[in-house]
Parts: sequence; C-alpha cells; structure tokens
Amino acid sequence: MTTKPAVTESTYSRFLELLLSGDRAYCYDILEGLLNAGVPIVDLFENLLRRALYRVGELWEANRIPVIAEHMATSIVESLMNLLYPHVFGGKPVNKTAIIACVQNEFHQVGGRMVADIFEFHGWSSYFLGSNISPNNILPLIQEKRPDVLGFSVGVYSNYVQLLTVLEMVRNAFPSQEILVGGNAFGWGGTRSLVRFPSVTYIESLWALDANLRDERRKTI
Amino acid sequence: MTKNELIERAAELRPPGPECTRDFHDLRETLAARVIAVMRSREDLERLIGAGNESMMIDNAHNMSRFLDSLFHGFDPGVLVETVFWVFRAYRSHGFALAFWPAHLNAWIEACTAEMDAGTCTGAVDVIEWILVHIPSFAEGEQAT
Repeated sequence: MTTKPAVTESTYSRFLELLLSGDRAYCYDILEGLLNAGVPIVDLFENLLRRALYRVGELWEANRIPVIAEHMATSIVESLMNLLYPHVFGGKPVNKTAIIACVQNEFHQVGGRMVADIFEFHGWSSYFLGSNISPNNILPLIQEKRPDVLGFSVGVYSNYVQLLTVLEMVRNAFPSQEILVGGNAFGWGGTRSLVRFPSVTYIESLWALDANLRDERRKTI
Repeated sequence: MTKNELIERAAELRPPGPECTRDFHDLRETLAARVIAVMRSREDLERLIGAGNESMMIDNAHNMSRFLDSLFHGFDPGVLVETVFWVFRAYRSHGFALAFWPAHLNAWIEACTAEMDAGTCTGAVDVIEWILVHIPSFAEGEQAT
C-alpha cells in the first residue's frame, strides 16, 4: 500500500518555527521538498501555509508575538506563493474564467489569492483583484470579462456588511452571476443570511473548492 | 455559564430592526469617534487599557462599530458570543483590564442613545447591554479557554 504524500506534524512545526523567525529561504526549502515529494498544491495551501498563518494569528492573540511578526509571516507566505506559481499552472485549459476579490476594507488577501490559484490549477483563467476592492470597481470588470464565477473572500466578520453590500450590487446588475464566498469570517457562522442570495454558494475550504472543480471537470470530459 | 448557554441566551435577543440597522450603519463612524473621545477623556485610561495601548483601543472602537454593523445585518448569536470571547482573550492578553469592558460598553450605550434616533436605538442598545450584563460569564469562559 502506498501512502499519500502529506505535510507531517514535524514538517509543519519546523516550517512554523522558520516562518516566525523570518527565514524565507528555509521556508521555501521545506515547501519545495514537499512539492517534489508530490504533496498536492491544495494540501500545501491548507495544511502548511493556511495552518501556519492561523497559528501565527493565535500567537498574536495570546501576546506571544508582536504584530510585526504576523506581518512578516504573511509577507513570507505571499512570496512563497509567488515561487509556487509555476506549479499552479499545468491543468488542461477549460475555457472558464473566475474573478476573485477581497471585499472592501478587507486587507487579509492570502486566502483569496489561494482561491485564485486553485482555479488556475484546474485550468481556469483567474483574475485576482487583491484586497480592499470597492464594489464600484468590480461591476465594470464583470461587464467586461463576463466571468463564469465571481468569488469574494472575507477574512474578518467585521467586513461581512461589505460583503452584503457588494452581493446586493452584483445581484441587481447581473442577476444570474454565479458567486462563491468564503473566508475566515465564516468560522463562527454568518452563512444563514446568505440564503437571500440564491446565486451565492458558501465554500468552506480550499479542499471543498478543489473537489468541486475536480468534479466539474470530470463531468465535462 | 458555558459558551453554549451564552449562545442560547443570545438567541433570545431580538435582533435590531431594519431602521435601527440602517441608522447604526450610517452613524457607525460617528459613534466610534464619540466612544474614543469619551474613553480618551478618562483619567484612569491607562489603568483600563495598559501602558502604550491607546492605538489598540482606538482600533477596537472602530472594529466594534464595524462588527456590530455586520452583526445587525444578519444577526447570528454564535458569531456574537464567539467574537466577544475572542476579543476578551486577545485584548486581555495585551494588557487591557477587565474593567475596560464596562467602561467601553457604557460609552457605546451612551453614544447610541445620544446620536441615534430615539425610536430606533433600542435594538442596538439591547445588544450592547446584553454583552455588558454577561461580562462575568465571558471573563470566566476566557479563563477556561
């Protein structure tokens, strides 16, 4: 029986330690080793990068690290994602487009970037707009690109009202636009109010997104 | 009181109505500014928030305004309780005293009462008062988590 390559506890712990000390080069060595061992991109995102960043957040919460260490860790993870970028491509193009954005006032953009990369990995063309995107800037882009999917990432619940604002605006302008939402903001709830938007689907993790895209591709083969 | 009991209690709150929600949304920055001014004018501020924490207190007031705005738009008792637990843990570990919360929440109640329409502010005040009344439970739970 073969074992699926995975991020082990000891690898994760070592990565976290290096991330907290700001050692980008060794963080990359670990990432590259896992990639070469065949660990799927989505597992690297979820089990290594996301997990480590959430832990960094908890350490700030407990006042065990200063806020600057949190910023440094985020910056390192984003640079690692840049290095991963060539590996994200390779999926057979499916001629579909996704636009991913963080809602207005939302400055936590790593999750949204990961979502855009997962789309790319499955052969989609994805446009990642970044953090703090005004709804007024999104509508013309939807008109221009006509995406198959629009995705909004919300990192903190305080920005939930911004999500509702942009969903209203998109619904009014493009009633049939398929929309995905997700992010840490939903960790404690908040999805019930989304039922008033029939074209909106909550995606609870990158694994769920990955599985959905995989299923969709299978159906089109 | 356990977390689940707190969530059950929070579920009994009547969510702010559409007029209150709209009024709060329009005034949230004014309310936060008023709360900050009240807190800054206190002679015991450093005892309440710890040394060097004024900018964190200001962030907290702005975050609170955006959090309540979001909460009123889609009331979820679980989100309310979990968030208050998180805030207690995070701010207490950064040196904020337990006494900060009654002072801060009373400033919010005063700001809502003064700035919002008298007929609509009750919904917002009820939620803030609920947090205020349950401070001992949140403090207890914070130690248990």
